[in-house]
Amino acid sequence: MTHPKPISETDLSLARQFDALVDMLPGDPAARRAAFATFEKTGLPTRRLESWHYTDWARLTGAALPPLPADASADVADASYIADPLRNLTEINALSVNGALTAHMPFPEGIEFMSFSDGMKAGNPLFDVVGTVFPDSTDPMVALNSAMYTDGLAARIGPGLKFPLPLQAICVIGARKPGALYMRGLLVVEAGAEVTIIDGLVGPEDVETQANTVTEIVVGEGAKVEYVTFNGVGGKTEVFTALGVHLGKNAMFNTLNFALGGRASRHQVHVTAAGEGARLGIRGVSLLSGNQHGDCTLVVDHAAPDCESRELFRTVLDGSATGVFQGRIGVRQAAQRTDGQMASNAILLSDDAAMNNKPELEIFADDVVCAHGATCGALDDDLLFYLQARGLPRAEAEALMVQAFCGEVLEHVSDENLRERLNGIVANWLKARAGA
Amino acid sequence: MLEIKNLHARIAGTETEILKGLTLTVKAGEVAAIMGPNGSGKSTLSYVVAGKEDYEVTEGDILLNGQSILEMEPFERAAAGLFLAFQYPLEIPGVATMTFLKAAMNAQRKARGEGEIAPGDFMKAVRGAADRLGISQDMLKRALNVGFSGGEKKRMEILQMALLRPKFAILDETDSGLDIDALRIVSEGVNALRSNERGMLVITHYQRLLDHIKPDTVHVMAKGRIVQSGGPELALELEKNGYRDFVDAA
Repeated sequence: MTHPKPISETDLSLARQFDALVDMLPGDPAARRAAFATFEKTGLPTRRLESWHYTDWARLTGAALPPLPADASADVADASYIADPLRNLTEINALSVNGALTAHMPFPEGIEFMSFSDGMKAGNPLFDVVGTVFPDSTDPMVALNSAMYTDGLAARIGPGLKFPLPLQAICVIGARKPGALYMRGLLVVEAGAEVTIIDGLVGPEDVETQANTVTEIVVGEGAKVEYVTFNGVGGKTEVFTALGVHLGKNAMFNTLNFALGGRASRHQVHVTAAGEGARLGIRGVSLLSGNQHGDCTLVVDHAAPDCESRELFRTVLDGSATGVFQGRIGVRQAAQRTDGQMASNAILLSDDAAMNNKPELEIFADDVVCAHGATCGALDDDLLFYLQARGLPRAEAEALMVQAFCGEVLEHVSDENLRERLNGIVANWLKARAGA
Repeated sequence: MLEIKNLHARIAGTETEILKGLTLTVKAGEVAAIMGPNGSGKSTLSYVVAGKEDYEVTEGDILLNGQSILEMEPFERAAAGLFLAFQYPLEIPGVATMTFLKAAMNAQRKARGEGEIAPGDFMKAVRGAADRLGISQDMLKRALNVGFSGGEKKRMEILQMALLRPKFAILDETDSGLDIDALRIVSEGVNALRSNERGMLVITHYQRLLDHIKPDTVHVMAKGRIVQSGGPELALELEKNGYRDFVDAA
């Protein structure tokens, strides 16, 4: 078949990969072809695309690596891939390797849990929502995922079910040779259910890999969901993660992204507050060093009245790392009495680090309270002096302040055990920095 | 104990000299007061002694127990036993007061080659000192100085001093922003820490503080130097006649 406008060698090789794979992938090939056609309109995003202006993905990622085999369990048999910080956090409820479910605990009644490909093949009605949660599916990376994904996890939490402990799903990139992975997730939380989910992505430290995961989440009326994403991939990985979320009436949704790994990473969140009275929080901590590039991009679409959103992102940059925050709160005309507050703060620990902040408000309703703010700078010298005058060496004073800076985001994590682990990861990052 | 000899200091990277040949000696067990008008360099003196980077010493020396501290980092000066109670204690969002107190105590112990304080001893020490200063448990749980009133911040400074047990303490306008009750509590906290081994330098604008913390010696500072030294009666004289005579003479 012919492709309309391949714009680079990389895009061409992605097209060849797609052609070779499309008929073997689960789901409707026509839908996949349509998705790939959307991708091809732009190819891998470059600065020319406004939503990717600060993250030139085509330049950051280089060549398109070959697809990784689905069965790579042997590659991760020693489990050393699983990032230490998260190990033993809670029992891992589901472990997948390259998107394929390899092990899971028995789930209580009321949870439907399956691999994405099995669910698709069985024609499970749960999958009717796939592709609808991102209202704007023109994003090339989301479209590329829709065309290429091989597998992933899917779950439905039945109405009114409540889980006191977080459920943890860890996805391991299993690769001994360079390769790329496209994974899909689906979570449907029915009315009144309450759940905390930890979604971790880890991978090899020394193998070049590319990962693209798209997760769609539907939160039913009055349901409460906390969704923590943890990027602990290796330093030679380029990782794109996207969350699309649809909130029903009086739903409550909180998500936190903890970005630690990856040569280049972009975490993209699109939440539609579709039901009135929904409350949501989107937060993130990014720790970037060396020449890492880390991007967090959000869109909050307030489509119904009386909703509240809180966005708080904190980025710590060392070495010659680059951080990006783009956040847009949109308030439609119907979304009266919206209360939206967004902030992005960055600390630059080195002169060569850089941060790009781009917060935006787009308001069509007249009775709203919305605000955004962005800051970026070095640690406050006066505060550092105060701590030093009390006996803390400079490095310890800096660490205490960075810990506090991140801690103000992490305090929103409801599970104490998880919160302490994440704080511990910040402490370890600072220790590694001091030792470097 | 603390000897400041012909100290000249300027704002780093500028020609603006603030301290112009200041000489002052405070002995162990002595409480010395420095009084002086706005702009005479009192706060600069406290910062220079504590080692703030914003100032550079161009001449002279500062000795603590006979040892020059000029080349020491601020944390080393703290570990050597120097304490500065800030005129404007800083708010540190996100750092729980207890975490900060423990970090400070352990950092100084470490610098002196001592082990970390046992959690039980730490709690006991903090509770005891906090009770004496009327600092509630709730304040200790909050982020350091965040949302504290002026008086609460000053009490927190004295709490830190009580826990760190410095050899020499500089109190920079500890009375500013205090109401009468808070002034009494803070002063009692300071007086409880007076000892034959500890020296103190109390910087203030007003005689009022010296009614509560009675100094052994009083020094008048003007235009970056000590221009007059005497006993407690000097403070009373200043209260009556103002600084003008000294400023004019300086």
